[in-house]
Amino acid sequence: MESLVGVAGERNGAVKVKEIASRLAFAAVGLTFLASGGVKVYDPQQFVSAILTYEVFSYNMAVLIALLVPFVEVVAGGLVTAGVWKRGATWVIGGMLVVFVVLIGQAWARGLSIDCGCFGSSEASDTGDYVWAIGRDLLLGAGLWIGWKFRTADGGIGRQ
Amino acid sequence: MKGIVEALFILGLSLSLAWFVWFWHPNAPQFGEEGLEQSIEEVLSWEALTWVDARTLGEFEEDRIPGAILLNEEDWENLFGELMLVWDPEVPLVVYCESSACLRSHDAAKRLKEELGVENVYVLANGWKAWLESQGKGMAQ
Repeated sequence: MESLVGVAGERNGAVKVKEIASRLAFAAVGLTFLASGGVKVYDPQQFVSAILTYEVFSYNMAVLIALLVPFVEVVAGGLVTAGVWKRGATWVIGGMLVVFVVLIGQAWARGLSIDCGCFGSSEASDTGDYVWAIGRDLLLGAGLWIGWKFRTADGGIGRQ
Repeated sequence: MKGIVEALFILGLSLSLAWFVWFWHPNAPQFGEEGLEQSIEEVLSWEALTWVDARTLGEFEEDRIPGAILLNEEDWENLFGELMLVWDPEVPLVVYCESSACLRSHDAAKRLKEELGVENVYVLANGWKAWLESQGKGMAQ
C-alpha cells in the first residue's frame, strides 16, 4: 500500500513538473509574441517599412500584413499565455514562426540588408544578425514545442 | 478540427481588430492606389516625366536622378513652391525615395495628388536603388 502511494506521489510530481514546464514555456513564447505584436500595433508604419525590406511583398500587401500580423501575434500570444485555446494558438504561432524563418532565410540567401521587424526596428545585414534572428525564432519554436508536448489534460492550462 | 476552428477564430478576431485600428489609428498605413507604383523600365519608356526626389536634402545633394526636383516632408512648403515653377500638368510626376523600404515616396505622391488635384503622379518602384541598378551601378551599402 505504501509503495502504491509512493508511485502515485512520484507520478503526481512528474505531472506537476511537466505542467510547470508547459506553463513556463507557453508563457515565455506568448509574452514574447505579445510584446512583439504590441510594438507593431503602436507603430504600423515602421512595420510596413520593415516588411518592404524583405523585397517579397508589394506595397499594398505589406500594408495588409502590417495591419493584420501584429494583432495575430497579440491575440495568439495572449491566448497561449492564458492557457486558452492552446491548440489553435499553437498552430497559429507555429505557422508564423515557420514563415518568419523562411522570410529571413531568403533575405539572407539573397544578401539583402533587412529590417527584421521582429521587435520594432532591428536591422539585419550580416551573418551574425541573420543567425541571431533565425536562432531566436527557432528558440521560440522549441519553447512552443515544450509547451505543447508537456501540456496536461487535468491541470489548469491542460484543460481545453 | 478543433485546432483549425480555434486558429480561424484567432485570425478572424485579429482581422476585426486590424480593421478597427485601420480606421482609428492616427498613424495607420494606407493602401496605395492600383497602378501608383511604376517600374523603372516603364517610366523610362515614357516620352516625358518629372522626377521628384522625396529623400533627405543630404541624400539629394550627394547624388540624384538628373533633373530631379527635391520635395520632402522636412521642407514641404518651400520645396513645393519650387516644384510649381516647373510643373506641367500634362507631364507625369514620378516620386522616388531610397528603396522599396522607404515610405516617403508614397506619402509624397499621395500628398501631391491631394494638393495638385491631378492623377498623373506615380511612385518609382524600388526608388533610387532601382535607378542605380538601371544605370548598372548597383546599390552601395
